[in-house]
Amino acid sequence: MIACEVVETDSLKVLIVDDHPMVREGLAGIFARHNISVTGLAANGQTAIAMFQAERPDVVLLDLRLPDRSGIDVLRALLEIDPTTRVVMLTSAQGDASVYEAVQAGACGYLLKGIEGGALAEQLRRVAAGGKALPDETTDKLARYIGSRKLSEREIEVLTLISKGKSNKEAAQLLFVTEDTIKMHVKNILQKLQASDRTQAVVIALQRGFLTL
Amino acid sequence: MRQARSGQLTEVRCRRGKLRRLAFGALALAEFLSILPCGRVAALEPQSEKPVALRQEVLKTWTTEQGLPQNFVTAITQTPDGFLWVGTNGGLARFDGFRFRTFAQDGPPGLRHAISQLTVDEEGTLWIAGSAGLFAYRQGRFHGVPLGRNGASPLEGLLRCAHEKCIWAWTKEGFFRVDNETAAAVKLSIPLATVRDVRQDRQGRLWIADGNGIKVIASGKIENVYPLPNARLLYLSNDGNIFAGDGHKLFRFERSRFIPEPKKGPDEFVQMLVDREESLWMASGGLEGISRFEDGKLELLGVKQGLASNDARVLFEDRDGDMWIGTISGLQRLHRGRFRSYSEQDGLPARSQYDSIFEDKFKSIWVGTLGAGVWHLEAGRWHGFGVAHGVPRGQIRGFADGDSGPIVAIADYGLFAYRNGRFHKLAGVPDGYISSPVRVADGSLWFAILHKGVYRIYRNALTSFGPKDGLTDDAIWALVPDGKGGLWAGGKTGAFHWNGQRWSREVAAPNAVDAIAISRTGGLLLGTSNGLVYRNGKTNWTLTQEDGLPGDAVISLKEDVYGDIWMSTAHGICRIPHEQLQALSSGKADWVAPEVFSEDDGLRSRSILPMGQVTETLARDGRPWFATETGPVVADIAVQSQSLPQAVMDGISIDDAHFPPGNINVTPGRHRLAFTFTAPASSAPEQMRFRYRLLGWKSDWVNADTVREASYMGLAPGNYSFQVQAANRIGKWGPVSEAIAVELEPYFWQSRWFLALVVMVLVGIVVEITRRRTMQRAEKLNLRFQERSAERERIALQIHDTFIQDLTGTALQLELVGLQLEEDPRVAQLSLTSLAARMREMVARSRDIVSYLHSMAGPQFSLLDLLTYVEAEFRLTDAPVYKLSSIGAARDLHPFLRDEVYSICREAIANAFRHAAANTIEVKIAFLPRKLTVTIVDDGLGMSESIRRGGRAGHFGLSGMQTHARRIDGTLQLESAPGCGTRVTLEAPISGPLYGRQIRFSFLRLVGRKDEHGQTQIETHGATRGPHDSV
Repeated sequence: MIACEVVETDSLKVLIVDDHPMVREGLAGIFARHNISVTGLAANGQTAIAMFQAERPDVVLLDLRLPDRSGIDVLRALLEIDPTTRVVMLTSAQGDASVYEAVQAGACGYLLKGIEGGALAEQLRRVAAGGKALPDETTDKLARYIGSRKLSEREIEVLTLISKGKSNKEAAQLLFVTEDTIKMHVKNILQKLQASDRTQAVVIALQRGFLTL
Repeated sequence: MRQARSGQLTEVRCRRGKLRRLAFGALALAEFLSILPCGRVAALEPQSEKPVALRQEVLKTWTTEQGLPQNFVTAITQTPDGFLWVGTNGGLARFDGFRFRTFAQDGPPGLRHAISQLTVDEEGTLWIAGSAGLFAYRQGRFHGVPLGRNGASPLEGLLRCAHEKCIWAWTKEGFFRVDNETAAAVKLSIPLATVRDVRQDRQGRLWIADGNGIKVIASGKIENVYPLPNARLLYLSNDGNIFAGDGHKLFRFERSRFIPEPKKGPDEFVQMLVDREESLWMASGGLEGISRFEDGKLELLGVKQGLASNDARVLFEDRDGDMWIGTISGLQRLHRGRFRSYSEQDGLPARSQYDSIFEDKFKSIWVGTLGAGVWHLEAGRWHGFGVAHGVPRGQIRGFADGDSGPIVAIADYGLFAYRNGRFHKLAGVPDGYISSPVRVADGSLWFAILHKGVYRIYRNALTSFGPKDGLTDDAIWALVPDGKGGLWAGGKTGAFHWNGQRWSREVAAPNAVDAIAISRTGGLLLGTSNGLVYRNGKTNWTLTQEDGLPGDAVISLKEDVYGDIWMSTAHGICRIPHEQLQALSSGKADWVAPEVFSEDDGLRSRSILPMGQVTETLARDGRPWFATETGPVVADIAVQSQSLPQAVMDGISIDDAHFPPGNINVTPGRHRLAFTFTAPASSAPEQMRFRYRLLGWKSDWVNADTVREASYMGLAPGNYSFQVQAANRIGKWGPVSEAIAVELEPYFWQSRWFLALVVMVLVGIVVEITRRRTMQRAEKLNLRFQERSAERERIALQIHDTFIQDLTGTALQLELVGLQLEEDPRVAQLSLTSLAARMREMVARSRDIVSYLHSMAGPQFSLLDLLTYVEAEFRLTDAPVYKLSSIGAARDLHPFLRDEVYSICREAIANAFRHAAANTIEVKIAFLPRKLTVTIVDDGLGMSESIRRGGRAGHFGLSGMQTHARRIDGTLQLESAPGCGTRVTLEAPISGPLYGRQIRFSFLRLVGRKDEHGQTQIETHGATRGPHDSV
């Protein structure tokens, strides 16, 4: 995890990345009244990265879902540009995995849409001050995800193929392993997810956010 | 069968002697009553105590006409199974009493040559000596037995060993002991060239006649020599006597020498035999036929008495006591029949027709003829009374007892009574066709006259009875006393009864009643022109030819003391045993198997004239007498053992090939399988019946009646077992024959393993088909699941992207408005106005989404409509230009095809919108005559090889598109490279079996009938076509 450095400043500069104009504008209006200067409003990932590079905001408020690429991708791209970037995810996605993924990728906060504007501004300040914006709800999810038996990369790969309707044999051919190996993976997946069959495994994985369709 | 004084009867239950006399006495007293001391009396005393004369025995002849291979009979013997074996100069034959079976087809060729000797050893093996050597026959097969080193010299003799399982056989060169087909030479210290005859006594000594004398050899050494010039015949009788003969004189061995016997046969003889009754038989072999010496009396039987030839050379007594005679002109048998037939030889007139019979009160028998007077049996001879004695030339129709002799009823002449050696006409008897005179206990004489009625003479007064007395029938044929002072009369409409006062019809019968008898069971037996009728109030039955009678018309009938019925029908005389009648009365049987008598039983004629005359009478000694057409006969009613016939297999033929009986394997294919069978019988072989079954095919017995063959065609391969059973003349089944196992081999494709293989293959195919189907179904389910998941996910994301975002935005805006209200209410007001406008947009957008969701379900939308929605669904920015065009006349697609095509296109368009970053996306739909082509082209980033193969995470992607394409028999092509855009081409047939079937099905359902050509009529079926889509 990347540490967030403390930056002393009066006026907090924020880049808002959200595909929905009302959200962007609403946030911008509210932030302005909380002494937060909005350096830019981006509707997609590409614009967001470009604005970030130009403005270098203190905090980036990033939606997980963007029309061109995923929020995580953008997060990674931003951190690549500047590893000290403070990014707070603002999203309505509630999957355990996505919380974990965001935090893992280096997000400093994970907030759910529906948060009050004032509270959000508060959280941004906290993040800008080097804190974390992880409400209890989010921490719970994170804890649960970490606590659960995670599927390995390989298992997720196998499960992805299964969710695409591949047979063991086809999956084995695609992954260049033997069919028995696939069977073993499937067995492990079923055990870890406590699923009774492959379909249920896919459903559970989708619910937990291991898989996206 | 020769009934025996030697006591061979099987059913004798009473001891002879006292009891029998007692029984006889009771019988004499009570005539028909059955107060006998025990159920069955053995033999009633025959009328004459004398043995049956040789010429009274039934002589039957068989020649080549009956199947004998040759008429010159050289040897006769009988095997334990009952078959008689006959050796002739023309080969060997087996005789079952019915048919001679030769072995020309399935025996060694030597059996067709002259046979010289036959013998049966202790084990039942038949030994055959002939010009072709020695053969053994056992278990249905012949084996040749070589004798000595050069088995060429002809066999001189054959002899069964005493007490040992072997035979002796000798030639001019050697003397052999043959055991189990191996011949061992035995050294005898005498020259074999002169040996004429050999016998072995009970002590095992060999007696050899060599023309000079008799030599006795014990343990290979000569023990004794008895000089007897020209001795060439030796015989050991069952009682241990040793006889020798020189062709003219007979000698008996007694106290160490042969002493001549007084003359007991013809002047010349070539064979002798002492039968079980100790009578001495001789075959003259020349001029005098055969002889029998019995009880000091010599009888000769020659050509004049019916012998086929005076040159008889072989004598053989079979196990039933019948004497078989082999002559040079045929095979003959002497058999003691049940019947004694009287003929000219007994004093009767030649060539007369016999009509009626009677026993008078003095127990002597009278017989009436047509025009030849009446005849009376006295002391074994017949004496006649003709015109000279007052008997006119007429038809004698019946007798009754008179005061001093019988009264005779003569057609159209009236009644004539015997008195002082003459017959005198009774006065006052009306003219006419007179029938059935009978005298009853009160002394009255009854008789019937055709069309006139019944008359009674009582104390010299004649009374006539007719309709006025209750006798409504004017054709009365039979009058029988009822034993209680009354009388039964049989007419053309039934049976009438006279109770002393009146006549009344007791039994109505549709047919004329010709005979009446009162059964000891109390019932009434009526012989009608259509069967035998029994009435006793409780049980009634009727028997006709269909039920086993030899004929429908019963002419006469009597019940003997055993309860057996002796009757004559138009087809002969028969006996129905008591047990069969009981079974009939108790309902256990509905048919009978009467013993039908033939010439074999001693009848000279089977014919009895059916003219309403009295043709049968039961003598006071219990024996029934019949007036047959050719003479009177009397039957022995003694119980005779009716041995049960043992059916045996005779041969098997497969198509045209013959095989001896035995288990058999049949090669694969369709064959005709025939089994021949028989059963040896000594009497009435023609009446023997058979039944058989083929287990494995049917377990029921098949009635063959008198046919001795069963054949089968087209039996399925498998194992079968054939059995046969024979019944004697009274319907008693003998033991079941040994089963013949038949194996019909299957072709390999009929075999079990092949069947199993086929079943396994079929099961395999079914399993494989099921497996594939299951896999296909699993794939379909997966795909469907995947589609649903994707659809849900899409809807979820859409909700997220639209409604939640909208609400989030709205919430934020409202929050902002709240802040603005504090700052500047005018600004806030503007914001609110703008927010309200935006929210209306949101409502519109939401309505679009909802309407799209609806649209997915409706079949009313064309492919073009759906693809138009896709744009709205995926468009995020203004960036790509979306062009949708259609070539050719747009057609309604089958909903299934439409959905599949839409799914593929939607995925491809979504890819282009989401990932391609394209400037234009072009979708072209071409409706060609038989297929549909959709091309989706973008000018975007293109796809790398890995994405093309593995698909992009989160989408059902290319593999899903391919699966969808396969489901509609379509092809999907993807051309793409990074930076060069992507082109997806889908080709799918519009008409094809996939849709045809379904459409045709719905068409048929609509029309309700199959079209004539069995072709689909999609083209003309309006339901499948709709108005053209507009682009």
